[in-house]
Amino acid sequence: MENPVPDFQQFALDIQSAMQSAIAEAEKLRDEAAADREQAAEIRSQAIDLRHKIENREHRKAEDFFAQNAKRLKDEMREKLLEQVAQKLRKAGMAEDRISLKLATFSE
Amino acid sequence: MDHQDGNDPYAAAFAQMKAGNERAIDDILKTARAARAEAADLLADAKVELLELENSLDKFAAKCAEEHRLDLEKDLLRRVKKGVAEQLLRRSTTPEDVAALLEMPDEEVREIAESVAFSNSLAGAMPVLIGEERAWLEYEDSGRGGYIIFHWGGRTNRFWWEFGTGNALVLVDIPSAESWEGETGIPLRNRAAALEYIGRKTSREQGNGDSHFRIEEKQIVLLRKLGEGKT
Repeated sequence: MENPVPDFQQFALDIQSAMQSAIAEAEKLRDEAAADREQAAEIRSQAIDLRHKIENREHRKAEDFFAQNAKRLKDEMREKLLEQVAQKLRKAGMAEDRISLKLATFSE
Repeated sequence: MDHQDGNDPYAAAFAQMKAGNERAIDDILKTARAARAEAADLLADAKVELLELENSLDKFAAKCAEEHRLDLEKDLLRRVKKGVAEQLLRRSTTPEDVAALLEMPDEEVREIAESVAFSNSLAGAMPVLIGEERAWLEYEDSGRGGYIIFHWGGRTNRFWWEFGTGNALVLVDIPSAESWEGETGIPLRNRAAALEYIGRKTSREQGNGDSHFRIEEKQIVLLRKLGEGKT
């Protein structure tokens, strides 16, 4: 018995239909992924804005504090620095009167 | 219709085409699902990140404040060190010693030293008119003292200076009015202006702005400022 002639048209329709379904599914997934990425970008942008706001606020606070206390802080730092220098000079064998003279102009 | 019939000569080709189509579909869906999952992970991560930030705002703020405070302190210390380095360099401390004493990079101290040398040369190179002649100063340090070199026109006078004690920062020896002309070759009528110039310039440049000066009969005394209204 001879084999019947296959239904090429039906076969092509089957294959095309399966591919179209897959493409539709892939496009749906692509759109969902795009929506998620967009939302993620928005959330990250919110987080960045929030960070910047806090950073700026805290920086301004620290700068205001420094501006108000600049002289005191500078004096304290200078005093501490000069004491460290004096200690090093002492350690190097310099006499006290010479150390005082060397650093004299720095004292307020 | 059964395209899988083993007796059908087309069956094998159909099966092969069908399998190829299925593989292509699998690939398409696999790629799409992976991209979808990746995007979902991205969104989840972003949500977690925002949530964590919102839950730790105080901690984050404290961290920012502390970091910035440290930056500001570092900057202030750098400026304080620069000021002290300038003064030590003016007091004849070598750049190498200054770098070691202040724990500063050699390169930075060398730059400051160049700037100090430049400002000294600039100070010397910018004369003022005293009487009918141009006058300018140079400094020559040698440890505990040195010379202030006062140029007036073509005349050059060297006045010895040394560190003072107590409230007196620096003492500059000058000729008395009586011996002024003989010692300096500068007319007596210009003495007051010359001494005023030396005192003002030395106080500003060598006293770090923390001093004022008093002209006495045989000395200019640079005095430490004790505070507003207390000199």
